[in-house]
Amino acid sequence: MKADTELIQSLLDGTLSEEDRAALNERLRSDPTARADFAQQMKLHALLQWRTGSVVVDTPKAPRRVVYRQSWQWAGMAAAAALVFGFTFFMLTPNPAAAAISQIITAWGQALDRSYTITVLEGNAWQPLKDNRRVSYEGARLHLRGGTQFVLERMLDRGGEVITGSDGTSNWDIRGKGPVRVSTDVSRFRGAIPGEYQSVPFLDLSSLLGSLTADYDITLRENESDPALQRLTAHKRHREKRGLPRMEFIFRQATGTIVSMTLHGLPQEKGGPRAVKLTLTSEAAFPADFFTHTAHHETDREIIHESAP
Amino acid sequence: MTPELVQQIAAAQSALYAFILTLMAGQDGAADVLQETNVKLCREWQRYDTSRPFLPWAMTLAKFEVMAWRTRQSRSRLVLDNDVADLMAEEITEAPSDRELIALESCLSTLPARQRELISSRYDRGETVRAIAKRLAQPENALAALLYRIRKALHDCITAKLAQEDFA
Repeated sequence: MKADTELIQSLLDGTLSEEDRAALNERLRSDPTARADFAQQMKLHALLQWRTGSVVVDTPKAPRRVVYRQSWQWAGMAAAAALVFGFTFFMLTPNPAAAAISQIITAWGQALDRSYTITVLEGNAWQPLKDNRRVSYEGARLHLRGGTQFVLERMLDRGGEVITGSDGTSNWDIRGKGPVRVSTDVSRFRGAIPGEYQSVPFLDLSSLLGSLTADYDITLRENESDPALQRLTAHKRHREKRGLPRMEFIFRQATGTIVSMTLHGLPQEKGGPRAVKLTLTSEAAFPADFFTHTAHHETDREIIHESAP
Repeated sequence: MTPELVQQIAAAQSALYAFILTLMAGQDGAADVLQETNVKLCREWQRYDTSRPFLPWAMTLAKFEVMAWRTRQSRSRLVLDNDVADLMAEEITEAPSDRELIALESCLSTLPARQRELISSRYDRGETVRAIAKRLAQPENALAALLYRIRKALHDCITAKLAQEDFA
């Protein structure tokens, strides 16, 4: 039988065999000292990960390995230690930007319905799809409810629409008259949202808490055209950090509701826009089922359920 | 939600991560569960009784999120059996504080150079023990045992430092 040290290391390295797993459970089940040791080791492992900033907290999605700096795909939440120290310090410091962010978070947490229209400021409005069609971001509409539900409507170059969405438990995608693809993998299809792979806080409160405060220089000023609005600009401090280089939010001072957001430096690997602006166009409540796929296609449409990874 | 509560959520991140990671037995997805816990904390903040400590309340919500994560996994992908996971949840009555992170930095600086290098390889550079053992041409189980001892030593060092501060 393996020693506890090896079992724990196999566990942490992701190489635990079924036999080892059973042995570990038996040890923990029968021995309170082993449980205390295990908790101690896990705690230190977590703290050691946390202090390096290797823990990336981003939008909820399928389980994956904790991502390390050199290999992460998502901009995600800020370096962990920076979050703990930087953000705490930031919030403790009497800083209007901190209060502003708090307001935005409050508004976000209320889970109200809202719709944004996308305008392409830079780059190509059309993004190629794998089937040689192209989809336009210019005039696309993004509807949101809370932090997990969305519907994104984009036009296809040969007519019809691509509608992508999530009701919080399953994600789905409808391309023109094609079948409806549904997945319980909550990360599926979300790359369609501009900046989503750069962890834009439309659907991700943690990005707002972390990335903005830890990785960005933030300036806050009154909006020139409307004193009821505030303008929060975030510039990324270090080029080597993943994440959009510049973002700008205009939000209502009283409520924190984001009325527009400009994202610069969107990734260009798949073509498409380089900078976009999302403008709040409606805060009307949607029907309860609006974020389910069934609200967006005929009842006889073919539905393909993808299995989660 | 008040700025004070936002501050408390931010300050509790490392503690919640450690708590979640332990209940998940170090499995992939702890960061995602932490994110889901943060969302829940923001949504449920009106239920928080401000006359009580924040962290136990946050840990309770985090535990529910871990349970939800467990139900989403197939049984074959879970490391801990249900009864053992329950036992571990009972085992953790306290989550680490910011003070422990600060103490950790101090304790790391007292480690011998070789041990610091090992910690750096494993955590800063994200190498697995197997990879480190191969690179250093050392037995894997010996390095695993050394890492175990280092983590234990760091734990003891942190505990001693905090006790020292409390008495000072």
